[in-house]
Amino acid sequence: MPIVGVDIGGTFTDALLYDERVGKLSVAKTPTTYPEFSEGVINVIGKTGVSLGDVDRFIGVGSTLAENALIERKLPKTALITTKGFRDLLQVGRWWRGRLFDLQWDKPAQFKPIVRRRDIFEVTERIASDGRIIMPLDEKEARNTARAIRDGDYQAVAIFFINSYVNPIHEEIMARLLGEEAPRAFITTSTSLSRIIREHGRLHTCVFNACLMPLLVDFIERLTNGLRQRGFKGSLFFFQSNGGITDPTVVRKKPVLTIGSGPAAGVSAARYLATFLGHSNVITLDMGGTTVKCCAMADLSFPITTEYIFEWDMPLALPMVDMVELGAGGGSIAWVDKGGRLRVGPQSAGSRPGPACYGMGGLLPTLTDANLVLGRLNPRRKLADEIALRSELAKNAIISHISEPLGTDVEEAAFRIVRLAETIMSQAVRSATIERGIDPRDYVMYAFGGAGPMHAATLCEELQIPQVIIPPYPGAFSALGMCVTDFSTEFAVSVLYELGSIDPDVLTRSFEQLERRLSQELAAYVGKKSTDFTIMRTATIKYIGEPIGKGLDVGVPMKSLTQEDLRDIRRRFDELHYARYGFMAPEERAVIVDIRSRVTAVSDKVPLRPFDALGAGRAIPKERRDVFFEAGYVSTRVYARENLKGGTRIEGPAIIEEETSTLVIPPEFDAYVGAYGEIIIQRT
Amino acid sequence: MAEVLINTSYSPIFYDAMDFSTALFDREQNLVAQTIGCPVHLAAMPFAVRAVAEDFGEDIREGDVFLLNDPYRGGSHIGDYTFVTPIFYKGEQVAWAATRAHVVDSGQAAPSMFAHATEIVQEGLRIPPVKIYTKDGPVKDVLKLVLSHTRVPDYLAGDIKAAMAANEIGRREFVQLCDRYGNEVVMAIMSYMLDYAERLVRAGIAQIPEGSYAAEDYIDSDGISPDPVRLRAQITVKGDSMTVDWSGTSPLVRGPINRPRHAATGDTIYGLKPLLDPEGPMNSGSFRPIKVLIPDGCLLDARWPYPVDRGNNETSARITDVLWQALAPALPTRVIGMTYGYCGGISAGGLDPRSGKPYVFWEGPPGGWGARHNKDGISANWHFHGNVRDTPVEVMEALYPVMILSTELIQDSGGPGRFRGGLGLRREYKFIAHSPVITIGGDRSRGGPPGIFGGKPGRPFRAEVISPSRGVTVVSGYKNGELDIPFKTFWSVEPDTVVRIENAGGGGYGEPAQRDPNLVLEDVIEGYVSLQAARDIYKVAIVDRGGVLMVDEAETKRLRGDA
Repeated sequence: MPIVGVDIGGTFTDALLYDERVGKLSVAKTPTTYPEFSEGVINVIGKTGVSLGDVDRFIGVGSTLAENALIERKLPKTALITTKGFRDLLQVGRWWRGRLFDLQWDKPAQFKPIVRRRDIFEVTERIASDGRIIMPLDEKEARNTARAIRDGDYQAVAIFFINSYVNPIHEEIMARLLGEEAPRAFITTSTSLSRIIREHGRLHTCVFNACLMPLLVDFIERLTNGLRQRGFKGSLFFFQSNGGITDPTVVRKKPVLTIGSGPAAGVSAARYLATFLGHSNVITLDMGGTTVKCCAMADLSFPITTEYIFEWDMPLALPMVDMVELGAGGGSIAWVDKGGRLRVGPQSAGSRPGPACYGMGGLLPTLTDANLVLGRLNPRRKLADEIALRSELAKNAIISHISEPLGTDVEEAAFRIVRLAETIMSQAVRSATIERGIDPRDYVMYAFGGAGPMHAATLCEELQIPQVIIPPYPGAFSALGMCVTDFSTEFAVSVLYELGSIDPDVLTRSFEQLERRLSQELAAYVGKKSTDFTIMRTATIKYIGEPIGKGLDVGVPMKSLTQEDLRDIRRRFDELHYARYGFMAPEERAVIVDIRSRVTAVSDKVPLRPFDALGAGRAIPKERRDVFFEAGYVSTRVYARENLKGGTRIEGPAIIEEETSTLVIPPEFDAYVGAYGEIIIQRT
Repeated sequence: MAEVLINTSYSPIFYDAMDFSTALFDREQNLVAQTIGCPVHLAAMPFAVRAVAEDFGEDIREGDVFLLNDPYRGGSHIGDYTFVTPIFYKGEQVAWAATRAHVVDSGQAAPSMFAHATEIVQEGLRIPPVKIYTKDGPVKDVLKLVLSHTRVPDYLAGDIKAAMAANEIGRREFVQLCDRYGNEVVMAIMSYMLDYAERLVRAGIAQIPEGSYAAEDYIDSDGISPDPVRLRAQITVKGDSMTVDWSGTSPLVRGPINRPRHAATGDTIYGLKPLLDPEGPMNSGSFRPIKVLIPDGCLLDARWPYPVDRGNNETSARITDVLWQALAPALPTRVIGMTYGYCGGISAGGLDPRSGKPYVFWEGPPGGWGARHNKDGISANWHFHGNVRDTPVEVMEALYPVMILSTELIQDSGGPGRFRGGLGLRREYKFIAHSPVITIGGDRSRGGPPGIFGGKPGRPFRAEVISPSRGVTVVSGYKNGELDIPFKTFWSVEPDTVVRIENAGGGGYGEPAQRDPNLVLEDVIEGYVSLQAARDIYKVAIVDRGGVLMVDEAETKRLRGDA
């Protein structure tokens, strides 16, 4: 039965359809519909040509819905209840500023608060850092607060108390009282989402979740109704930022899990493809219109962060796929600063007005304009069947804003824009690899997104990455990720166990306790027994004096732990520390700050089928055009990807075009079409 | 470099507070590039690298790492340790990497911070440039000596390791750059970066009408005498260069607010930077267009044996204020009301009753920033001279025998104006079941941070000690009409004593009676401004109509005399 994956992106909503009956994959793209996102979802499924009545599984939906509401602050009326004395924690944050010398900078938490100060309530209670109750929750005051919240017509309430990570009892009592007094409000406690020490992350996670609950619940209902009305009888799942899929019942309670889920789906798709291609170390490069995102997977496991920064000083304390994101995309604006230096980004022309060449009113030159001027983009193609690219507009923008101030010709200016953008991209890759103690030379890069395949080869040269893979459907790769991912749930708990003295049985029990809860949650919707689940354990460890809440992730074996296991964990931590930070201290005491478990249940995934046979035929170019490379214009063969058969080899310089992306094969590189339709680019 | 330091350093002051800076220097010790960090660190760092070059000359070899903190030799104050690594490429020295980090305890008279020093020897172990590492490994004797003079040697040892690893990463990356692009190209780019920063600063200066601008301002006291201490600057702008003359500034004082000449020069440059070029990089090129004159023997010419610890804070901060006030008439859309006086904050040390082990901590709760020409100031954010973070409450309580009772904005603390200064922060620390030694630092307790163009000052700094047996004592700020000097050390306080730090709000911008009444109403609803202040200072009448606060237009007109 057909499976559909849909990724709602900022500009486009992508769908990928797999029809088992004919063994065929197809993709579709439509503009994202604001604010009624479910319309775009139904539109794009329609465009794949499948009848919804036939669809067995539908998986969505990307991060845009939640992120857009938060960025625009278009949020339901939400209250926060917190410990007396800490009303301003949300606004004050960590006290630091985003720009060192800019006196006009506005702190987002103050100038665009997620929850306003007037909507923050304090109650008397206090838990100590060891979990003792120093001051019991004043239930009378708490009940009055709950009534005030009911009378204030708040749609959602976040409950966050200091030190609740070690003892959530007061948050739970407060939630119960609220449930009694204000039954219509959506309620979130911080500890239902995270048990990590450091108040800022839990606080933001909790507040974001509360704000998103009414929105996501509404969205799920509209989407479900829309799908059902069109005959959909299958099951619906959501993608999460931890790189797994889940059930709508979970998203209704924990909508914050969808933040960052679209990019995570792209990483998951790369991971899936890599299992077929036999790659175990993969760097993903996902470049769209405004940013580039990079993720490095060793042994194909997702790197996880529990300190994702949403906006300045707004951390989320959830296990999320760890990516580095920098402001360089097709829409990034090129400019010359007051000191006469060329710059690219971080401002982006976005999709409206978009690059100058779109002819929609954008007058500033962007990376896309530079690529068009250099002949990399096809001036006769239309974007998503709608937008014609106009070279003369791109040229004019580059001439007046870049060439003239720099005193260069237009090609030279465009080429410098591309080189500079590639430097920023390589910085993203460096941050995701070298700065994390990973050597990119041992990795293969998977490049996707609309703009990734255009720059990947040059980047690999710069970083000495031996090989680039351009997967099939690079412009709808997150939608593919939706259809090839297992169910999973992951949770982190701060324990602060000293590694040298903790009883291995205590550590085992802490993991097991966590896993029982996670398995129950998963079993409730996947319809499988917990014996079918796989569990992955991680300990986040640091030397005793190092930062709490930071530390390095070390895998923990899935068994009753022994002293021998602890010694092994310790040894691996020391080695990791050396690789990452350049020194180790085996004589030092070490502390397990957090333990994390990830429980996974296998889902039915879209299978990838290899070509029956690989030919060795030469491809026939559809045209030649002049493309500007380092040495100047070169007459370059241009191919259509859909005509390339498995086993085809193409020598650079060459351009390969497909509906959602353009691949650039520079001189002295060649491209090979692999068994799964992937294109492998490497140096000749 | 910064990434390594954050993740591996041992003291919360490093990793949570991020009171450190990492930077790269060219062969001639020019600061070329910096990572995130504190302006106050970066501006003075080239002098530290220079001190290493002067002292060691030919004896600088591949694999060496140097350490210094000597404030008279390129340091800032004793607590800031600077680690300097020469970078060699193919046997020749091509650059330097350096990390400057505030360590939590350097053996001063009181834990972490001491308010009453009258000689630098009371401020901790003074370290001239010394070699602590060679290609053969650590120079153990020197490290032993350094570690012997602190209350928390384990933490300091960890911090040293982290700082050295940060430098090593900087070195390695630099060498890779040379491998990839060639030594000459990298050197040419460094030279370009200096010229580029210079161009940007010159462009900024050229926007200021030629002429002479002056201002003066005061530090509350030197911690020893109750008298205010004056800073005065005269700025002369000619074309695209500028001279800043500190004549008229107080002579050296007994207490620890003196400032070494090189550090004051750096302070002057970073203080001007946001007015001249807020976006560009700061490096040694930024210094070129600005000549700084400091009279011999003045507050900004600290020399042996004058103490300097708080000079890095109060004095450095006030240098910025004087420069901003001087240039306000020339740059009305760039200058903002004055920022809270100083983040001096609080340090404490003692024996943790839970473990019996010694602990030391320092934290600088923030205050308000000044209002801007078209919007309000930022509330409770760290002072411009640094960019330091909190120690999260949950971390603080897990690590130290301390409980944080509150972290809240102070109503009516933002300097009133057409645009309001940011609010100050109140933070209360309870020292559980032990008797620590505590030092409290602060400034602007005599009068709040000044506003500009008719804006009013923010609420002054204030600190209180609340002891179980004696109740509330104002220890900084006005007490019975008299100013109690705003920084001091308490040798031992009762168990369960609470220290309440109330940092100042930022200065306002423009006349308060010109503030949009709707903005005043919003401030009242949010609790930033009281009803009383709305009426008395902003001249806005706000009434409660059936539970909804509204502006009483007629009464407001009457109050403002517009009727």
